[in-house]
Formats: sequence, C-alpha cells, structure tokens
Amino acid sequence: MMLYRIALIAHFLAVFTWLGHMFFWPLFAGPVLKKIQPGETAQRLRTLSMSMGGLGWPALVVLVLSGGYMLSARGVGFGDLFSAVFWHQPWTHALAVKLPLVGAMIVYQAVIGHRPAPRAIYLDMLAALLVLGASVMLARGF
Amino acid sequence: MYLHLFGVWLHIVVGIVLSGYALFWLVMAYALQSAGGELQTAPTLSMIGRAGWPPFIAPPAVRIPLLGLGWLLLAFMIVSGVMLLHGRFDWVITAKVVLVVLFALAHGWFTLRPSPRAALVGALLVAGVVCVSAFLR
Repeated sequence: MMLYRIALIAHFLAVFTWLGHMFFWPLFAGPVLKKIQPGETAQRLRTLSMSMGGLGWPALVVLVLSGGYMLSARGVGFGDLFSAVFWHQPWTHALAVKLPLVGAMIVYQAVIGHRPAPRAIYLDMLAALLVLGASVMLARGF
Repeated sequence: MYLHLFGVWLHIVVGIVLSGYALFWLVMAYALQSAGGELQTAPTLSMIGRAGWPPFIAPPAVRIPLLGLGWLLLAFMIVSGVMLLHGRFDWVITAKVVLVVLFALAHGWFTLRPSPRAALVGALLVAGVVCVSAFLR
C-alpha cells in the first residue's frame, strides 16, 4: 500500500511537471516573452527560459514505470493487455483510450521532441488532455 | 456524475497550468541569477511579471499581467476545489488548504519582491499540494 502511494506521488509529480511545462511554455510564457522590448532582450529571455529542457524523457520513464507498477498492483499483468477478455471489462474502456494516447505521446517525444513544431505541439496537448480525462475516469472506477 | 468528473478534470488541468507557472518562475529566476550580465534578476522578473497576456489577440487594455495570471489560476483552483469537496473534510483536505494558503503567501512575496528564493518556495509548495493530492480518495 505504501509503495503504491509512493508510485502515485511519483506519477503525479511527473505529470504535473512535464505537462505543466508542456502547456505553460507555448501557451503563456513564449508569447509573453516574445513581445518584450527591445527584441534582443526578448530573445535572451526566451533562451534563458529554455535552459531547463529535456524534461520529457525522464518524466515519461517515471510515468511508464509508476503506471506499470500501479496496474500490476491492481492485478493487471502485461499479458492481460493482449487478452480480449480483459478489454471487455467496463473499467478497462478508459484504459483503452489512455494507453494508445500515451503511446502516441511517446512517439511524438521520440520523433518530434524538441524540434520546432508549432502545430504538432497542439496535437500533443490534445492527447495529454484526453489522457488526463481517461485517467480521471480510471481513478473513479469507470 | 459526469459533471463532477468534468469538474475534477478541469481542476487537474488548471492545476497543471499552475504548476507550469510556478516552474516557469523558478527556471527564469535561477537562469537570470546564474546568467548575470546586464539583466538583473529582480527588475527583469518584475518586467516579465508586468507583461500582458495574451499579447497578440487581446487589446492591451484587457491583457492580464503574467503575475496576475497566477492569482487568477489560484483563485480558480480554490473555487473549483471547494465546489468539488461536497462538504467532505479530512486531514488531506486540511493539508491541501494549509499548503494553498502558504502558496498564496509565497506568491504574494514573489509578486512584491521577485527573487529566486521566493520562486523556489512557491514551486516547492505547489509540489507539496500535488503530493498531498495523491492521498485524496
């Protein structure tokens, strides 16, 4: 039970740090810093704001490990994910939404990552919002 | 039931944005401090805090200063958090309330005197709220 709680805290911290960075920088911080005058100061501040990059992979590792542990603590083994019977249980519907989206986010991280991709980042954000929705449903037993 | 779930989801999403906000000030404060040069930490943080959002769509008169955005996010978190309680109150909620009050104080400190230390305290308190939330039933 204690280990489960530690995994949950690690999961929460990784989600809030990674997604907090993912949402706040492009939607709020970036546009604000871009408009600061003079332009050289704006550019310097934007460079400084990116000094803490590389959050994605460490967060993903924590999320996959803690998420995997929490699933196993709920009695879900890796093999169950390939069983049709498992996916017929009502509570697994949210998991069926969550896992492919997490997979898509991992692909995004691997393929696009830190490259400038103004449109793709919004798709990644949409996937994150849907993952959060599915997670709420899972936590509440749906 | 679905309205409650939507409320929980929205509370979490705004909480994530608030976490990003606290992280942003932490990164900026320490990056400015370690960079040195012509950009002094406190005046530059104040200047960023006064910059309006959204800078492109909204006319200047209705833009929210970046520091004001933090207060708005915090207010939303408090109101939505109270609405989601449904009268329930236990040690987890008590701990969250204490940490949120401390965060409000830390954010007031940062708003008046922006510094790396105030940003660090704010970010740690947000992390504390996130950790305590893992104990919610």
